[in-house]
Amino acid sequence: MEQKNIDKALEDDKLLVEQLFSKEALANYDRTASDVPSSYFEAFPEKLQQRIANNKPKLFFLTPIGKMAIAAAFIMIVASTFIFLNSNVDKNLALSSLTIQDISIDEIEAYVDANEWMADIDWQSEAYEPDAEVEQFYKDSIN
Amino acid sequence: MQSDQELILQFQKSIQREQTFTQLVKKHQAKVYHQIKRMVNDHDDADDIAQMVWIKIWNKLDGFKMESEFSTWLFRIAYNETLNFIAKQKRQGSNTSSSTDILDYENTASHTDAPKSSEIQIKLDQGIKQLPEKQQFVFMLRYFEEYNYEKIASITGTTVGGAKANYHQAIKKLEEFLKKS
Repeated sequence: MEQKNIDKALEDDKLLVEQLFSKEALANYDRTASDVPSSYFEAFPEKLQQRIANNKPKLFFLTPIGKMAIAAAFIMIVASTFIFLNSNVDKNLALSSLTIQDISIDEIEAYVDANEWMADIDWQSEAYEPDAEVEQFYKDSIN
Repeated sequence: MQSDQELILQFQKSIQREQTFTQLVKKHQAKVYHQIKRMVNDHDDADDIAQMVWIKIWNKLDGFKMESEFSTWLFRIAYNETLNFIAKQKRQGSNTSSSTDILDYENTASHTDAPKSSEIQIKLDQGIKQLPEKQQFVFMLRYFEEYNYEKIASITGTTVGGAKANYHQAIKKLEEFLKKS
């Protein structure tokens, strides 16, 4: 039924033109437009293949595979940069969220023990560098 | 004979690409050529445009997703290439061979006291030539190729209503042309 309607619509559309020009004139028009040199269509595929071969891109990056390889490399670079930057952010976040309560007393004691000699040096360096004015006052008061 | 879909799948899987493509060309070359020839009226131009169309098909066939019929896609490329060619010719201001052909035809007809059918032929020729390119294309697809409006709309990148309007406007202009002449 639907196909019949489509065919009818086509017939009606064609009839509109055929009422203006004859069916014969329209057929002639198409025949003239369809004129081709002899064996044109037989030779066309081969001629086309030759032209395609001449038009083929010589450079690897211009071929479809080359373009895909470039796109893949670009995606890899972007992805690895993104992953690298994100992993650093995670580490910093882990450190900044650490509180003194998270560190055990044993760990703190171990740290202090290990760094006690540094505290001694600091204290000694300050002891061997007395304030000049205080030193003078001390000497004057003795004398 | 293999279907378009089978041939395209073979091409995309790189199975004998040249032979597969040649089969596709052989199946559709005449229809594409005739449609282009109707528009440009010159064999060399039609041949050149047809080659450009098929080269584009070769280059893009790997990415063809078969969401539309192959012939619709093919005619869409042919439509674009033909209209680009005509626009380029107009820009270059070259005298189209079609207009001289019409004049020659007209002169021959009047000198030889040709029958009335030749006069109609000349008017038809001239009438079609004075249509805008899009209307010409739609008119030819509908009348000569007998395509439905859905397909014509896909080819010309318009709506079904737009395609119908183009066809009927073309007929109206042909009618006006006949009245004037």
